[in-house]
Amino acid sequence: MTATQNVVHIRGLTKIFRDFWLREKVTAVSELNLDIRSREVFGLLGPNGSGKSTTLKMILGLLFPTRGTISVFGKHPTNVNVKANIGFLPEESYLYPFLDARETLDFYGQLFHLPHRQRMRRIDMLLDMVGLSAAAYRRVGEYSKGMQRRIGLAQALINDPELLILDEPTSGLDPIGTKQFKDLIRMLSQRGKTVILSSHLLGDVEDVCDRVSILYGGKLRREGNVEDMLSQKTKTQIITDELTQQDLEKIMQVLDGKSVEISHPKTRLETLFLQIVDEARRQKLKTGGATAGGKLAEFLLGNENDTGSAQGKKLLDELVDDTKSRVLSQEQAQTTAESEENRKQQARRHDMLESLVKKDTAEPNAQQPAAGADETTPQTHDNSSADRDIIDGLLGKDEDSQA
Amino acid sequence: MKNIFTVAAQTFSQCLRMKIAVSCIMLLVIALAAVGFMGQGDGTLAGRIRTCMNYSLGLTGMLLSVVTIFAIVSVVTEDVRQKFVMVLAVKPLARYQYMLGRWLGVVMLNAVLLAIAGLSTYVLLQHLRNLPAVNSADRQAVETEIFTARQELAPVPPDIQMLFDKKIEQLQKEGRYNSILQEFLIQSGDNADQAKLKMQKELEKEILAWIEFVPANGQKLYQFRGLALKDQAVDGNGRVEIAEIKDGLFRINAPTRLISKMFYNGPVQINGIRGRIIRMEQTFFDVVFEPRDMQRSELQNLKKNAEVAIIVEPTIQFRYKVKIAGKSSSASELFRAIAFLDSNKKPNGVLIMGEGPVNTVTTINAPAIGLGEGDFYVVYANVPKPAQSVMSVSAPAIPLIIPMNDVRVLYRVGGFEANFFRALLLILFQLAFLAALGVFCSSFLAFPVASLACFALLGCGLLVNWVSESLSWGKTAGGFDFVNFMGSLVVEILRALMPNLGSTSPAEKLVDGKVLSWVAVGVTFIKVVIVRTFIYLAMGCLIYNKRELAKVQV
Repeated sequence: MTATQNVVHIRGLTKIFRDFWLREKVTAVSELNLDIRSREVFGLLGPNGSGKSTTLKMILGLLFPTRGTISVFGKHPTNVNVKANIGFLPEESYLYPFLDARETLDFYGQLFHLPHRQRMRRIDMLLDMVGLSAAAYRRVGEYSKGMQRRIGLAQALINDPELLILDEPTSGLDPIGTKQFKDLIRMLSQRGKTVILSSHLLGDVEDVCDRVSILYGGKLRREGNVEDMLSQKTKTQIITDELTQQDLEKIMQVLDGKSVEISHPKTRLETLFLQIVDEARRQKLKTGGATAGGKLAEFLLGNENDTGSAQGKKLLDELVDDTKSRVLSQEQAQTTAESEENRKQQARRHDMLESLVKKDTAEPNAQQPAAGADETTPQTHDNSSADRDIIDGLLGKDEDSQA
Repeated sequence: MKNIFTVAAQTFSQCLRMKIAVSCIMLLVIALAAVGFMGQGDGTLAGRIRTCMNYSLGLTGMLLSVVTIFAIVSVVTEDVRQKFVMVLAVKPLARYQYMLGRWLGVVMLNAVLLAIAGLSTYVLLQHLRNLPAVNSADRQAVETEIFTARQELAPVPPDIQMLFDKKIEQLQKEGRYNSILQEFLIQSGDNADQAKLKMQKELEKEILAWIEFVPANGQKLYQFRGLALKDQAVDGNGRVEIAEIKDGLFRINAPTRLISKMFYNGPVQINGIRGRIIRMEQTFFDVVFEPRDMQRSELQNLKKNAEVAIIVEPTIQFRYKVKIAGKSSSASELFRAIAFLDSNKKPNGVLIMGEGPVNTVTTINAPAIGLGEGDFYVVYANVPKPAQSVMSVSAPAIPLIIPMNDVRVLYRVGGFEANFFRALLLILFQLAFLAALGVFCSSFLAFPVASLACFALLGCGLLVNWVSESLSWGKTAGGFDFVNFMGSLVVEILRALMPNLGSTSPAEKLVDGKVLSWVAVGVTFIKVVIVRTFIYLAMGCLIYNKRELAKVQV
């Protein structure tokens, strides 16, 4: 794959930090080669001091490489035109504390030369999405850490970026926010955006990333597809309804002495937490913090001018078809091996969408998950309200594209 | 360009919210109030107004300079220190746009603060102007020496070189040249070049002393060039309040704007006939006419409430200072006669006689009759005081010294308001330069060091002339002086780095009622804003462009 087909192309990247007397102090990144492809969610993993943040900062043009080259969208990272397509959420909120949320988004929106009306509309949508509409006129300096992450995310999305770079995106967020964040990343990926993610929370990375690179001591140790890296091909897991003792005995006979571990699956704590909060919200209990939010900004769905959201399976099917067609066009441009990998990924996304739709159509009250309908495996998705929002968002896009 | 304005607007808003502006305005209000109530000057109204104007403009300039340096340095360095720049620098904003935006924002803040400070100062000065004066001369000084814009002319300097050559020639003729040179050779340790240089300096000093010396019963003629009094007359209408035809006196009600341009014993034309002013108040003035003019119908028919056309003719002011030569007298006042000659050296008919103070800068108002454009002359005659009565005796004249640097002619070329506005513009230019200096320093230094560097350079800009003069005083004739060489080198470097902020300060001229011309404003704009500000901004942008903005702890 050439540099122009990759969103980010890094070759022989080395960053050496020196002291005042220009003596070498530490080599933060060493001879790093990396390609981040268009439309993928890429995870950058590694322990503290492994060079993740330094790499991200060099990609953003905030640090300059000692050796090696970086190109972003085929250009130098400091190129102003390149930056018009990038959204960046740093590891902490580095926003002006004296501005309120609206002013913050307005200021950054102006730097992208967005017309006033469009800017105002996007600000409304983003504030709604991150659940800060009620705190829109409070100074960012007065926000809690989680609220600051939310407004940070909103500023990163104000320009509807093609490349979203997220440094520790879920740190400081509550489980609801984390869930929404992950949903957002998946949705943006489906829309063809490229996401680079750096995180210590491996569960989050596992949930959303297509590919990961693991750095240690500034060097690349391993890189690959998440599915391939994590799946244990030599073992099999079956999940079914509750089995009687007789059933178990039959199974043991069938397995004929092979090692078996039998237990009741547990609900994930995240799922349980989301259920409780969802219950509280239905009861309209008061809170001074961030509200539910979660409704995706229409412009991120490519639906800038229509603020209403449509529903209907037909529309969603068309979206799925659209996804398919994009997958096909991508296939034609890639090598056979890569196409196979992408096909798998897209098929998984397709399955996920279809399963969501089935839930949506089968359960009219999908926002209120029925008792006992909990998900039990880490690989599948729960049916919380946030999923419902994703569907709404996706439907909104569909309606618009049809219009 | 749009990005620059976006950052500028954000910077302006940031400075306002950082309470910089509010603190500055509060300090200014307190300072102006203190100056207004406490500044008394020499006890006269003119002195009080001068003191207030000087302090209020000085305080405004100083306070805004401090605000400018702190504001620009803090917004730029805090962006890096608190990592706000990590979000800002990944937006489609070129680094030079960011720096220019920051600079423009601070200049905008300065413009607003300066407008508020200027307006407050103007209101304070107008309030003081309307207070009662100590006497009529005090009122006249207020109106004609402060609330005005006057052009200053220096006398044509004498040709020192020519006089020096003549002196040498004379010494050679008298056969004294070699003996004098021998004396200097002994003083200089047989160094011929140094001896000649010393001799030349001594002779030049002697010549200058001779030029400034006015013997008893002697006179001095000063030539001035470039007078431009054309169209300087002010006209308007008035109404007769009292007409005493018999005594040749009229009291005329007239607008204050006309009366403020008049002076005692000065000329005024009523219905085209020139009279002499003998009293001026806020709303009226008294004028007397020669008996022969009173016969003319334009005056004969004037009755109470009759409307008259008034023309106030232009005035020139002769400013000088006298010292008594030697210790011949301890008199505090000396009698003198001052006459004005036109370009053909013909007297224009104005002769001012009377006593004037010693060792004090004195300003004489005189009608500029017959003096329009170009050259004219002023004669200072050191004459004895005539006897006041047959019983008294006349006081003999005393030899005097009139320093050339204190001899000036001034004449009105504009109004105070426009001059005040130009003064504020000059202050704004300085602040714009300081903001650029702040941009430069904070492009590579942290807040404390950058602000310290700015203040140090500001101090150098204010003192560079003084340091330069000090060095020239200490310079010894001939030879190589390492201390002076190093001092001169430092001064030259400072001159290159900084504009001479001391000389571009407008307060001094404004207090003295001297015009700050648009040409001077333009020249300062080019020198300070276009050249130096641009250089510092360009250097700041270049350094910032090469700087790594993400601080990494290693």
